[in-house]
Amino acid sequence: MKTETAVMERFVQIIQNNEELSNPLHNRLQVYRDMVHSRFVETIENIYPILTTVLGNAMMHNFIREFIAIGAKTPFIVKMAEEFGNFLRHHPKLKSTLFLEDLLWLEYGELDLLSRDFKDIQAQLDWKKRYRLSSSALVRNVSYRVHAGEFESSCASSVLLYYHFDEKRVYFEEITPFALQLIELLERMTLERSIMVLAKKYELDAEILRESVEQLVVKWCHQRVLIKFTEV
Amino acid sequence: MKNIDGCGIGLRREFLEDFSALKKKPDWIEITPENWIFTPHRYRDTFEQIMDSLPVIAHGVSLSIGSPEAIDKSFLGDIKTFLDRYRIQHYSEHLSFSTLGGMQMYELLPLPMTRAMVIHIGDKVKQVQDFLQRPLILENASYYLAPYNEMREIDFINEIAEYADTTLLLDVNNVYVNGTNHGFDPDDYIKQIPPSRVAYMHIAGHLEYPDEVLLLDTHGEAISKKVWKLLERTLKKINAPVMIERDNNIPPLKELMGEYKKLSKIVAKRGAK
Repeated sequence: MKTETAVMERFVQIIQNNEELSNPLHNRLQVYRDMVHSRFVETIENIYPILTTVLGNAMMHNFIREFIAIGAKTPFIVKMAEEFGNFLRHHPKLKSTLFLEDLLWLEYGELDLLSRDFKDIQAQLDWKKRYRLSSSALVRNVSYRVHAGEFESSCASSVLLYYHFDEKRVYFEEITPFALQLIELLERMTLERSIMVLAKKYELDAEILRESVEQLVVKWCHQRVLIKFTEV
Repeated sequence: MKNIDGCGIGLRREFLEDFSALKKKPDWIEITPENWIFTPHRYRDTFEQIMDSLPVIAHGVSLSIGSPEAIDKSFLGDIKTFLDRYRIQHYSEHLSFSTLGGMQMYELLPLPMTRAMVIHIGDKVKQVQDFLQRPLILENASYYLAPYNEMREIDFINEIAEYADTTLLLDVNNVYVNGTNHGFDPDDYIKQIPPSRVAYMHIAGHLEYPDEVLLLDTHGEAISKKVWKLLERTLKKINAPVMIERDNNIPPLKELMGEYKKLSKIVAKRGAK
């Protein structure tokens, strides 16, 4: 198998790199190079459509060529997009690209949630229970107001992605720092106790706070964003 | 093949719901396990209902049986779990490679057709079969260049099947594409395959490059007249189940079912159904 291995290695090397081929229009090696490139492009651009628009097709295709040369590791093509995202995160040419990390998270997050399987568990409101983010939801801090389009002034905000069980699609929602803190607290303490902590921190009346928190938690339970701590 | 008879179709996500609603379904279906191993919530109920109602063959794309390295046991473990979960007995893969040194190309790349490769693949087939506790069916893949050959494609395939004592998935379109691209007679090729080695067959479409003598096995076009004719002649020699494989440019299910009806008529004519 020594010769065979050497032939296969050289073949893959030609596909992966951009060395000039003789008579490229009629060179069958070019057919393979194009096929592999198209396969990566189709998958990546489907998963990162906004990022592709932001970077432009030409630049995106160059990054994809570089990525092919390094090589994807997963046998599952849909998971390759995650490896590509990590490749871009560490690419020196993209160090100063604004919002790159957030865009990668948002676009891959949507695919990730659409690719997962979940148990459809709807939690009920219970003041004596702890809650946690379900596997059908993702949350991330950002430093600007997404909906207001205020991308230049620094402002704490968070983005919630969740899978809608009835519509079978992923929704995006901007949430306040207060809402994010509530999610974080609920992982560590009961709903009752979380309200007390927040009321103290923001110097608010606990009874008034209770009403608005109740609405929020009921909504999140309905959306399956939150589940009770013991539920899997 | 146990439970697999008549005509089938490749199940695709693009028409999953429409397929589920079909009153008269195909005799059996083929699915790509890599696309369903992590069955998402949005497809799960429909997918499982279909899987419960029809005989199924799993047709993989990422095994890379011809790679020089050892079989990826972790990947194979995922495949086995999936096959066991849905009680799928039949698993086929391509005679090609798509991985080298752990790097994935996600395309079916051509193998050097040599005696050493016959033994290498034959031994790996046995390992896969032992691991999966099922036979591995091997498909003749299309190729656009032959990087290093000691033997003809037909001898390469027959020798692997013989050495590993396994069966073949005969892709009639691939025979036609390869015959045109590499200058051999597809009928002569098919004549040399022992009929008893053929577990089932694929029929699919290809793309013709008008500027040069090159057919691309896109599996993304309607089946050409010449491939239909080749199938008719093949069926006179080989009595095996046949299915329509469409991987790209997926049309509405109605269009595919039109091809399926045509296939059923052809198969019925030979009296095998």
